[in-house]
Amino acid sequence: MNYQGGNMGIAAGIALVFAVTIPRVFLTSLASRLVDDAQLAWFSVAVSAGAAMIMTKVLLYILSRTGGDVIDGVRWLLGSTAAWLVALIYITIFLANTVLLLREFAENTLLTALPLSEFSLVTIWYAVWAAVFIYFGIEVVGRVAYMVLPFLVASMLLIVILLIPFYNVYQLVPWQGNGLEIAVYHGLTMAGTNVGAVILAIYAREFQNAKTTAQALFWGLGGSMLIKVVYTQSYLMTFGVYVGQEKILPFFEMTRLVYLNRFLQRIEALLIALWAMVSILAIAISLYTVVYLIARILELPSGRPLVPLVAAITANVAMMPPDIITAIGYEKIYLYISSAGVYAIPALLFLAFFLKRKGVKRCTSV
Amino acid sequence: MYLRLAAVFLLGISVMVCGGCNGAREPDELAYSVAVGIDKSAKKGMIDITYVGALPVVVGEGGGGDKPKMTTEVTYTVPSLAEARNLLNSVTYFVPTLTHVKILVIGEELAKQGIGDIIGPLTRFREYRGTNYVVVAKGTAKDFFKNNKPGIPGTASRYFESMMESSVETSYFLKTTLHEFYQRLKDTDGTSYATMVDVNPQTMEDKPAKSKTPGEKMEEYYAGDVPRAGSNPVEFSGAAMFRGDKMVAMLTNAETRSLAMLTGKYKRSYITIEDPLAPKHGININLRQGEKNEYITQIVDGKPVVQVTVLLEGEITSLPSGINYEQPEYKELLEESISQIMQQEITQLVIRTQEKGADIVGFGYQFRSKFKTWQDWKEYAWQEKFPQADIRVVVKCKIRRTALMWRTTPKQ
Repeated sequence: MNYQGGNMGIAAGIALVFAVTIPRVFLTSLASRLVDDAQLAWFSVAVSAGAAMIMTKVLLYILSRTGGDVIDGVRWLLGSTAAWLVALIYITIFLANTVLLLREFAENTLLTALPLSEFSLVTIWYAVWAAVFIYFGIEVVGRVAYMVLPFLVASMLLIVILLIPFYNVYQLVPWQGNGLEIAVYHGLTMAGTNVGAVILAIYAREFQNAKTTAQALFWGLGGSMLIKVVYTQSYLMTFGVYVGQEKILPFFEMTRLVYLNRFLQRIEALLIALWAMVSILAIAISLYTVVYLIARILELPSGRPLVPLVAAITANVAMMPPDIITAIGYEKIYLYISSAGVYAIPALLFLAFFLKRKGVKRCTSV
Repeated sequence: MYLRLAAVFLLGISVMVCGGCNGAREPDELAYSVAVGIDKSAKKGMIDITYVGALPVVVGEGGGGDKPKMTTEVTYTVPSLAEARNLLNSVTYFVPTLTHVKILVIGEELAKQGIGDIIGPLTRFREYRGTNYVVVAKGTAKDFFKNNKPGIPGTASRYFESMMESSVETSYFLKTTLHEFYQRLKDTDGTSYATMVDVNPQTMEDKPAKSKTPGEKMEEYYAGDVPRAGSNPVEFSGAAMFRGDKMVAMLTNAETRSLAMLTGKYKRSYITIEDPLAPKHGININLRQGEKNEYITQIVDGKPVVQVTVLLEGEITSLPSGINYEQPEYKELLEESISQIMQQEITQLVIRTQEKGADIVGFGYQFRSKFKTWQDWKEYAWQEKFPQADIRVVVKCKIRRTALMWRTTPKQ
């Protein structure tokens, strides 16, 4: 495992951030947002992404001044123990993310594509694919991500367009939904949805320079936010608040509804392949981040031997929740808790940086 | 090297799994149901489920002699749809599948009793989809299927699909889907409606639903009452009006057209009206919705007030009287006449919906923007306000074309 790559550019950064922050659109999150914020769900989504963007930008700014990645930055500003703690927090966050994504996507595969398959086999299937994938390293994952990205975005936008005959724009009002303050509160507390953007700070050494990471954050997280906002609105116009809250797989339900004529309908099977790709990408990025951080903090020459082990652990833990509803409940708790990763660590580092800033010189090349 | 081998192995497995080797079924192993009928059973607490299965038709068969049967029907008395599906497996060695169901036909009696318990499970089960059509059969769904003899080549699924898609040609019935029906069932801002279907006795007996709107030449009919002889005994006409999950009334074909005009679903149809200057003659107009309806809404002392302006455009397709309605001075007279007739018809529909307390048009949606929060809107309790709402309908019709003639010369 190479800690000083410096080969990844803006495109890979954008794709990585996009791939790790978008997958919950394919899960139950849109429906959950409607429960919380009704017509203002889109705003809540935007607030979450905006908060994550600001805090990650703060983190990247600090790293641009201290040099290195987030572990280097924390070690330099707060010492080795703090670096260990921060690494452990991010390991926990990304491990939990991997587990939850693995469980939910495995369940969705059973629901949508392979109803007769054995659940454990599907879970192991995803875990094995992710493990093999990350063996090639984050650069390869990044390249694959940016190859998939245009097809992903184009397909998602196509669904939004194909659903136009089903839109009822009046479903978007009353525009304040359950209340503006409540939406802001939910947006801020659910910023954990976008905690994946932190990978730019974790892999800061792998990117060309500080400007690369800053642009990747803006376009990657911004793009993902835009798609999520568009999808929230599209979902709301199609299903409304009441029915929209009920769906376990909003995206799948949207694709199932596409009907232009006798010849263009039932296209969901094509889109299942799409979200299966995105899910493997997101699981792989999260899993790789766990392995990378373990290897990084233990200063191992390579994290590769850890990959099968961590993948096996995540697959086993993913199978532990007794049912999908429990898993969705855990996800909500996870999103709240992981918001700490969005706010607490950058805020702490900024404070430390502010106090120590006199001794810090600007570093443009990490 | 090992990594590549592992990747190749996984890809090989993927090809088999994603290609459908796992749990795959060949088309000739499956029993495709193309329609499902749901009736109230004579047995308490039970429902009668009728499945219409598609029969495979060999290409080129049926060139002479009897036409091959397209479908087969089977009816069960069961407590739920799921049990009926189980039982279906007992009469055929094919594996039953409902993924190709096109239409759900609900018996009138069951519809009047309430279908919330039926519709809910349909939206949860992956083999049904929001694009399935929902219709109500006057009488029973079982009879509807039994008498359905399309008499045209093609598949049964295509018949149902094309039939519903063709509703845009007249709007005498509407394309009503499970998605929209269920959404209206859950929402408080509009209530559900579904197309009515029935078996026509084909006796040519004229049974108009009510007296004609002044100026209209054509009578209004409920489904099954159109005087006719020949062709398929079943017909799609009118709509069933729901309040909550219960059917509360039927709409005639003309009322359904008015509903289409109010909901913006109206595409085109022909109407025959009395010639304003020679009432014994009729004038045929090909009408279409010119622009999106204009809604002006306000709440006065808590009471909803709405003015809806329906903008229609027409093309004269027949002028037997020979009067020059192509000329501006006559054209305005004709436009006024059409506007008056349609305005009366639409107003009559609105009055009926208010009497039944069923906002099938969805006026409630227009008032949502008057409220800031969802809670405020829910507290306004639209369903209670709707019957007292002051709803004014204005129809403006413009004659845009005169078909292939630009003037009419009098008889010499």
